[in-house]
Amino acid sequence: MISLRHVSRWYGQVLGVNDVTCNLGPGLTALLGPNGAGKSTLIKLITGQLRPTTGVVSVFGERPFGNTGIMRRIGYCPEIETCYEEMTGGDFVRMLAAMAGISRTEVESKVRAALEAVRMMEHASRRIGAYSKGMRQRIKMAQAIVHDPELLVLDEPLNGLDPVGRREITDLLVRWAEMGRCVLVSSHILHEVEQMTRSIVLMDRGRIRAMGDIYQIRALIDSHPHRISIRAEDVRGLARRLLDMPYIFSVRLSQQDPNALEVETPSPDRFYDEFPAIVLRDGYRVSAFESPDNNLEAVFQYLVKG
Amino acid sequence: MLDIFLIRTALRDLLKARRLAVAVVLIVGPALIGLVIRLATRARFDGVATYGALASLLVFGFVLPILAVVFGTGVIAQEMEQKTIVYLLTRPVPRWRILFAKFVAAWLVASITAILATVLLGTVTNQPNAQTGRARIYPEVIRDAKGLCSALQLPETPVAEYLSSQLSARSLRLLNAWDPGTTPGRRLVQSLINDLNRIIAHDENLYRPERFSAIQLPEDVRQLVAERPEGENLARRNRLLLEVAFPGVFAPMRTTISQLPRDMLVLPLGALAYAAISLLLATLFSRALIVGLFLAFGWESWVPMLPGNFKLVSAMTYLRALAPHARPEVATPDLMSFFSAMNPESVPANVAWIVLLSIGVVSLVLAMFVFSLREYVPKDDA
Repeated sequence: MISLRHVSRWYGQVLGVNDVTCNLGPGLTALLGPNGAGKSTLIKLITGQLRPTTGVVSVFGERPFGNTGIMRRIGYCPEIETCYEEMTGGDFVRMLAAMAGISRTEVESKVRAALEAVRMMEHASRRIGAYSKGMRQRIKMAQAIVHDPELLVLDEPLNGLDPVGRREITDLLVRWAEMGRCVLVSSHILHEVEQMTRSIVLMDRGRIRAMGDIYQIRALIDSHPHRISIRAEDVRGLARRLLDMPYIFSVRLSQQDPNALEVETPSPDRFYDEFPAIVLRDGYRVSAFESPDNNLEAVFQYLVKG
Repeated sequence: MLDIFLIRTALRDLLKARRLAVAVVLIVGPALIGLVIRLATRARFDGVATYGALASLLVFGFVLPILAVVFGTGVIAQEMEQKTIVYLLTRPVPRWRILFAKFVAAWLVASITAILATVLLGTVTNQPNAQTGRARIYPEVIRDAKGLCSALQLPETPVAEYLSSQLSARSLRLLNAWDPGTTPGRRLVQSLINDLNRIIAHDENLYRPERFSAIQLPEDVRQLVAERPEGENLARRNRLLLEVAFPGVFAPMRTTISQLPRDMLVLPLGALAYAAISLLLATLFSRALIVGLFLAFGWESWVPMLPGNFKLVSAMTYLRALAPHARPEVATPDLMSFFSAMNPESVPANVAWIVLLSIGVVSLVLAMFVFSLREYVPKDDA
């Protein structure tokens, strides 16, 4: 469905995508990479907003730039947060549905179906300007699926969604892919992607670093120790408790902050799964929890160097 | 169908409350100033001159270009700024069609706003007149019969000399018999009126540059003179020339309302030209608004004043040719009148129509062409 042959794209002196060659077929493919890896550029090339500087981009066998025949078959959910702020969510989807070539008689039913699929029916008559980040993400989803596209391209669609929203949208995308359509989702968060698909394309600095099954890449990533910093009241007690866990490499107390500690683990997912239970059972009062490594940047540094 | 939908959506976007407030200010502003002048000058109020000055300075010189530039560039600039252009360009609608529909909406709003501004201004400055717009003279039109008779009895200006040379034998006899100390009799005045009406209707030789060299002609009269008119327009020209040559003798032929239909027709054409140029700028530059404003208020206000044929590269020159306005002339020669005296010949109206229409259509087509080919990706996304 999508085929890229030696595709490069520069922005002046800056290289957005560098000599990318790949084929994408039906099913859900995740485009994974840290911010600035060139995911958005690749997506803009596929959705016909940009032309490659060199190489050939082909979607359904044709070049997508300004190609209305191709646009009819693509649904695109951009990364931007802004919509037409003055419009209601319903009007926004209705306008784009009409522009997508849906006949007048069908527009209402299609719009309703799309709004229901993203659970935005009850907010459809409110102004987009008053929407939360998650609602914007859903309404953007609705306009992407309203015309039943064969190819669905989504740029960071889970950003700003709460866990329930992530689940719903993920399920929607998986169902969509199971119907035999092609879905391309970009993300910089590995955990998100794992719940959707096994087929991933790894990008970094404009190049495709790896393609294929997620478990192969996962294994690579897991061998990379992961740092997590935690702020809590009884930080020394917590440190002792954490050291009992078999997959914790090290626990270090912070020099700057008496209430903070940093954990190193090769299995961040296991840690994330079990940590809440420990906190609840033993009554630690955790005030902050973050991972400086949770952006893929660190993982990629590791992957690329290793 | 889709196009109408696109236009309607764009219109709704243009008619937001905040923009409407600005539009109302632009519509009401010139009329308000006209009203203030009317109330301040009372009996001396000259509706035609006030309308002419405010219409050419404020409506044609400000309201029209600013609306056209802001809306014309806004067609793309706003979508780029809000990044919503992404949604439009990934739809199966040819790019030029999206641009065209949005342009039509912008042009409609700019035109209608400018038209409303001039209608309101025209209404406020209008002075009802017994013989609206007609060139023929009636006894009621002669306000100062004594002044007319004495000017013709002992002609002191080239125009008066020419007129007295064209009078009928009967008029000359009655005029010679008239005692300048008395009020002229009805027979004398009626005879003069007959002669003047003959001259007004048919005399192509009334205007000679040397004959009117001492007289400042208003812009609309200059335009009429340049067109070498025939028939009704010849009569209009001659009547206006007489009005200018003998100030205070005749009741003014022009009324504000009589100029409105013409201005209402020319404003949309001007909006088309300015908005299409602005649209083209917006397809090419990311800071099109600034370039457009410079063009509308820098270029357009200076180039028409340059000597020689420079003025021909300004849209305002053609707009002035189509909708000339009688503006109160400044008594002391300043830089502007010095320059405009250096290029006295005006552009014929039909040429002006063609040029403005061409500017609009060519810019619009070019803009649609560029828009179809260029990449429009909102900035920080790259």
